[in-house]
Amino acid sequence: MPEQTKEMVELVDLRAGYGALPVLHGFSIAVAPGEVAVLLGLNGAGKSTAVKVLCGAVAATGGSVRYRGEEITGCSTAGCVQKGIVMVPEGRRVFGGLSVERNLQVGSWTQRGNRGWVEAQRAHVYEVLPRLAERRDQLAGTLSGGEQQMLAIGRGLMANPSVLVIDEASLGLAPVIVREILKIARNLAEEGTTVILVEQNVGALEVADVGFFVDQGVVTATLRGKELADGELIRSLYLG
Amino acid sequence: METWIEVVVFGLQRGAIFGLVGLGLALVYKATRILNFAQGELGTVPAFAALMVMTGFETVGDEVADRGLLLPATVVAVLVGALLGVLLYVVVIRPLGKVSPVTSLVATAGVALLLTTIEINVFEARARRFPRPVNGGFDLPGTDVIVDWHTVVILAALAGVALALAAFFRSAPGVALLATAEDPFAAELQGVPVERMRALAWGAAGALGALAGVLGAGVFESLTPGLVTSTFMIPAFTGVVLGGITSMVGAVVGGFALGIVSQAAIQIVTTYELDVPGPPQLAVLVVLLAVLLMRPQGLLGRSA
Ligand SMILES: Nc1ncnc2c1ncn2[C@@H]1O[C@H](COP(=O)(O)OP(=O)(O)OP(=O)(O)O)[C@@H](O)[C@H]1O
Ligand SMILES: [Mg+2]
Repeated sequence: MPEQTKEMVELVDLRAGYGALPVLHGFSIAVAPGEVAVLLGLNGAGKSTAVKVLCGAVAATGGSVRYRGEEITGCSTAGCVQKGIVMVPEGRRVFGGLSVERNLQVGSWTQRGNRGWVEAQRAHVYEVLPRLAERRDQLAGTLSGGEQQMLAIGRGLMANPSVLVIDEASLGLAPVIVREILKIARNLAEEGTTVILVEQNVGALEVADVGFFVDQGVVTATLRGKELADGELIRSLYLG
Repeated sequence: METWIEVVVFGLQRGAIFGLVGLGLALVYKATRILNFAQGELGTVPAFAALMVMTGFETVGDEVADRGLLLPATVVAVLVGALLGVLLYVVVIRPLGKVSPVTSLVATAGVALLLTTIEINVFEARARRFPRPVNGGFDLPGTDVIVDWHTVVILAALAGVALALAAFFRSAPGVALLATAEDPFAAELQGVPVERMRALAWGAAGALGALAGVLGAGVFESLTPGLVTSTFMIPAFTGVVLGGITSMVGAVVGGFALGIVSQAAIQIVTTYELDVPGPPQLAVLVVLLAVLLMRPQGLLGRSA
């Protein structure tokens, strides 16, 4: 029996790496339902690796991944999507040769049996991300960077996520677009989706319920409440 | 004038078969970036399967094929082709992993050779009569040109395949296949079973090859080991290169272009009594060279 827990996602003492190179050395976080969690840290700290383990895209060599209190370590990517853990990858990776609408269709792969839901969700995505609605027949490769990021998020939403992981949404985008995307993330959480943001941009803490500072494969600080706005504290974390 | 109308009619007939073979090549290249030199034998082997159905499994006898069984035999051939395509991917291509295009080309050429050898061992190196679904032809109105009904059947089959493919690429699996071809990791993150999608592409290519094999054997009304590879493979491949390798429409357009060019070459050589060995093959090579020199991305392909 899985133990009772109020956490949506728990990574416990996670270890993982690539070949002989270990990257995570006992990485632990816990995120409650409907929260926005932000993973911060320098380049190469292991943030992307941690969320890839959560989504089944990288294998854990130790520790465990729990989802709604259930042990899911070693679950395949497709299995994770099926359960409701969906990742928007670093670099957006929209399908450039397909239209916006077709990208969303790929997103709904695991839900394709439920046409009614897919229709309704697509309408909802176009409502939340109106820039996509105007461009539904445009090839994704011809969208601007900000529009591509929104499409990547919309595509993720089409898989009906309970937990949406967005890796480096703000990379290379103008501040006004970044704010728009962070607001979208906040709104998703208000609607009940748990959101995990991987970010270089400390501004993301403004929409966060919890922040985790990652350094060399471990979480070195967990920020909540007032700490999220404590510039002095955050600067000291970056300086080590 | 009449002779040139004949060139076009025969060109369209051959071109449609090149197009069917080419669609299989383009589909597999799009999905897995592999030039499948065994595509021709994905046509010949199923054609032999069809012959077996029509002759009551007479592998080396002279049993005449029962034309009445051509339809069920074609269904069997298409199933055999699809199965063979999937097997080829799962047993040969996937275990190879990430290799250079040359390595995978050599591997598929090896498979083509192996399948041809098996055909020769089972069916002997000789021609077997192979029926057409409809015999005879009709006068093209206002000319003395006779068009085979078989040509009409082939063109109709290609049109049916084109419609089916267009519908497929709008369906969830079709769009997922295109997504897999573009970015397998991103597709996987949406839960798309990437390996199954690739196997599906190979299976569909096998089914297309089977159709080309049955209709192509009908063109000659005979079937020999290695038939599709030796008669249709090089022009189909060239047509696909001309059309842009990953473009389905390009594969068909290129197939027709090559069909007409090679028939025209035969006509020119006979008209002017030129002494050229293998004119159709030569014409095909000229097109291939011209494409590679002047437009390496093909007519409809995008440059990488
Ligand atoms: N596919 C891979 N193969 C080998 N090493 C990898 C791979 N992906 C990441 N690494 C290595 O793992 C370490 C952590 O990478 P990771 O992508 O998790 O960092 P990150 O915190 O997301 O950094 P960034 O902010 O730059 O995206 C780095 O040293 C990186 O070089
Ligand atoms: Mg990263």
